[in-house]
Amino acid sequence: MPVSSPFSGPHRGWRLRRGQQVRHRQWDDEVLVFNDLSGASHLLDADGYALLNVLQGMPDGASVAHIAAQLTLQFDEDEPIDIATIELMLANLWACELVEAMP
Amino acid sequence: MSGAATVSSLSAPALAARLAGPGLYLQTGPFINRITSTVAPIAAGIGSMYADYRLAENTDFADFHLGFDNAGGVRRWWRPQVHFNHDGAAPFAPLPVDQGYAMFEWMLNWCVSSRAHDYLMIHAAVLEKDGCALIMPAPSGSGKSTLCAALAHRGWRLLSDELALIRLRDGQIVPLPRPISLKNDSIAIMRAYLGAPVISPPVGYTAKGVVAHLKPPADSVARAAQTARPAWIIFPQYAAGEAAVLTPMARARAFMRVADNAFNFSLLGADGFDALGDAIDRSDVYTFRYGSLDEAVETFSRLTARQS
Repeated sequence: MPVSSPFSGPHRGWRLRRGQQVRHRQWDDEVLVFNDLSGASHLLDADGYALLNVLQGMPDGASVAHIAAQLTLQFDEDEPIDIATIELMLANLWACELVEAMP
Repeated sequence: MSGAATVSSLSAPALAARLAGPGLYLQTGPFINRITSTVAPIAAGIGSMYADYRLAENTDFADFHLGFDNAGGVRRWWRPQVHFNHDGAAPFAPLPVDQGYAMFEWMLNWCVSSRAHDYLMIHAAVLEKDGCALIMPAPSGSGKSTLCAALAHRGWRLLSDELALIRLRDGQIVPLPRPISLKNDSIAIMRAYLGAPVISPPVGYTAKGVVAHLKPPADSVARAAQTARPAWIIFPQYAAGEAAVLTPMARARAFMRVADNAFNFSLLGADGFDALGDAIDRSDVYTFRYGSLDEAVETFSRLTARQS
């Protein structure tokens, strides 16, 4: 599903928003993430949380293509996860103010 | 509570004089309240509903300072009203004098829910058995208080009918047993269910309809210092004519619903997130629909049997 975002593109860099610690609780396939900046709690699926984890391990940020490659590896997928899927996940996390596009 | 004086040790005139003079230092759960009042229904309500409560003697300290006064001027005779002040400020509009005791209860709740931030405070009924706490978060109209009143008189210890206090430092539930707020039909239901309960005079035309308060069991008041660990979080919903059904619930969804019912979840930030996460981790989580109090009590008995 295409994402109409000003931040699209496989080479666009993304990172966690500064100050996010990704404090979380996981039960089954659902993860609650605490937003250190807003004080809100966000209910994510396991895939969204995995993406946050990738960014947490890369404080200087990562491109969409790199995130897709990392998650493909992590989920042991036969086919590469497509860029549009990653962009959609990033758009959701961006709306929660958990991640930001790099300038 | 050995040796500690209770409200029942004061005669009605002595109680009224203390309220009208230096103030009554009343212990409710972990809090000391200094109460001053010249309002007759408040003195009568405290004398009746709080008879078993400890007086906090030999102290000048109080967590909350609550003052209730009859309005002056023409309001002294024409549709008399009660004014509330807290630490000298008047945060609310006055209410008719016949709602004075209900106002006293609401203001006690307000003092706790707006200030006691050593706790994660959830709008929930809480009861205890064998050291295990049953937390029932629910909005008005769910039947929470009616179910709470029934359980508190059928083998469960009342910790609170309105406020679950989860202590941040260790996750224990700290009791705050107080009179149980009954509204509208639940007043007659509890009269029939309990036989001859002590219930404050119902008052109508409040923002919540007809309201009365049920005196809490003396044992629950006496054991107010005994904390409990979270064991069950159950979202009740009364549904006329339906059989009692407990349905397991996803924990993450329960987390979000409890957070929605908390007074200070956002204010506590990461501490609130951790406290609620720990409580969910330690608890079995269900939704619960019921149409009969007896069936509900029986269902909850089976729950505790499974735990032991």
